[in-house]
Amino acid sequence: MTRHLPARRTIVPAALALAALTVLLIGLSVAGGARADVDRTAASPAAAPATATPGSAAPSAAPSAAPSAAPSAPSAGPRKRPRSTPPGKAWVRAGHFVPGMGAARIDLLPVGGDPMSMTEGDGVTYGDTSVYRTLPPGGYTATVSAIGSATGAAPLLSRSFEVTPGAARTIAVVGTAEEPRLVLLTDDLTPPDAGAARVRLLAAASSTDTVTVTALGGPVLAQDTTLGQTTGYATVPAGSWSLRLESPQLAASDSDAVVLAGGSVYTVVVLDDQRGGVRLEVVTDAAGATLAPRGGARTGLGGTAAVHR
Amino acid sequence: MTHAPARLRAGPVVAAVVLLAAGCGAGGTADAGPATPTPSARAPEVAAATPAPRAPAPPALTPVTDAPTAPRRLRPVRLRVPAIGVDAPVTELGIDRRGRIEVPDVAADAGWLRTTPAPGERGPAVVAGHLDSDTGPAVFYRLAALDVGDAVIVTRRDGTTARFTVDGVRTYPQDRFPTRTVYGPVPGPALRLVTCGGDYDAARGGYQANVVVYAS
Repeated sequence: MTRHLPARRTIVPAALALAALTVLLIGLSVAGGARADVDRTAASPAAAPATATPGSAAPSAAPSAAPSAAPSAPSAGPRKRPRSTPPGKAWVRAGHFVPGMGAARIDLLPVGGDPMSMTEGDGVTYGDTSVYRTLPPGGYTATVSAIGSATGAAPLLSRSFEVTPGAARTIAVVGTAEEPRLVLLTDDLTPPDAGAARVRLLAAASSTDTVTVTALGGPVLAQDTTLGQTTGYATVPAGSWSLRLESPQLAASDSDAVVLAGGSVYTVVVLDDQRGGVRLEVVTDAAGATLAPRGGARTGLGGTAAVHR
Repeated sequence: MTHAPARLRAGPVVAAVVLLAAGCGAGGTADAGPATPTPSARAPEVAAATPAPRAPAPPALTPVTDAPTAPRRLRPVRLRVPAIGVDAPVTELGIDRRGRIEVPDVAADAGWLRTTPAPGERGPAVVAGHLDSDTGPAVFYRLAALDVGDAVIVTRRDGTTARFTVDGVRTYPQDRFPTRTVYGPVPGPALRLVTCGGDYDAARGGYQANVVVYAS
């Protein structure tokens, strides 16, 4: 029943020879054939344990500054309904977005579980975003501690939150060094429109009061956003974009080209650079199909239909 | 894995090939997903309210096609699912002119949709395979029997492997296929295995459902 490997030797040449014919005859399978009663119900959902998966680091682009003036522009519109989420694990990462604050350790305590670290070794420093970890859905408490603080010492910041299957959160330390805050960002996995990416902005620079960022020739990503704020996601046609950054304190500047892939979701982080200016870091939140097909897959011919039961 | 002898013989080759291209859900069922099959690279709305002192560099937009998105070396060549005895070659699938996912020509092959990320890279790699041919079981015949925690291993062209564990198995009616859930953005490496399921109704295009295995 389960032996189902090669039909290759006979089918391949025929497939090649008949490719054109095949196109013509698509859909003819509706004529006649065995009737079957198939019941293949889904297995249980369930929270799978977090396991190792092949990793991929968060890519980044580091645009440079080039002074010029900039236009203003209207904001992007709201998003459509979110999708249903896939079964399984939740995705959680951590980031340090507080200028002037030293390296930090970010830990997670699952409700009823053992603590785990989101930040390996030396912790995260300003501008760092960790890769996502997969975690069982449920309740967690995130804590932020200064690197080098005594084990068991009270954390600087602490916050409890819930994660649901298939959802993504970013544990973000934001604000100022004097008054850091721990926020749980929801990384929205709603698919972009075909041929588009979705981009939000996180303002984390202290060298300016507010920032406005525009995709040159496209939408405004953030308008007068202040330190510690995160915008909603704007829709941007997929492609290579220069981002213009304007602020009250600094000359406007255009970034190097940033590639925004269709079907993907990004966070642009505005950071202090080391020369009293600002720089942009593009962090990938999630990647999807660049083009999704319509409907399901036509992956069965009915040859076993009579025996499914 | 040992390979069973070929099940599809010379006699029904014509029918088999035709049917492989027709398969389940070919009967013009409605789509649940919002996928747009033939979008064009539309020009962005230039939103400037006041002219810039110098002309901004125009964006270089990416045309929307079913061209491969992953570097060649990372594309999958083999799929193993030990729990159900699958050890199969992986071919490449595109999107046909009707906007639908192509299916493998060969019942024993799995096929990776080239507009999805390579398995092991960030995002949902989608691999489709037949449930059956017109004469017997095909590569994903037992897909719905997978359980949470089962392993799926994908070998890539450069010899590296990506290992996944099953997060869940779902069955969806063909006319309510959750395109956004299956193909939408994922923060890390993920895999979706897709085959047919549900009732076989020849008058309505074949199998009436799709089974989707979610793994990460």
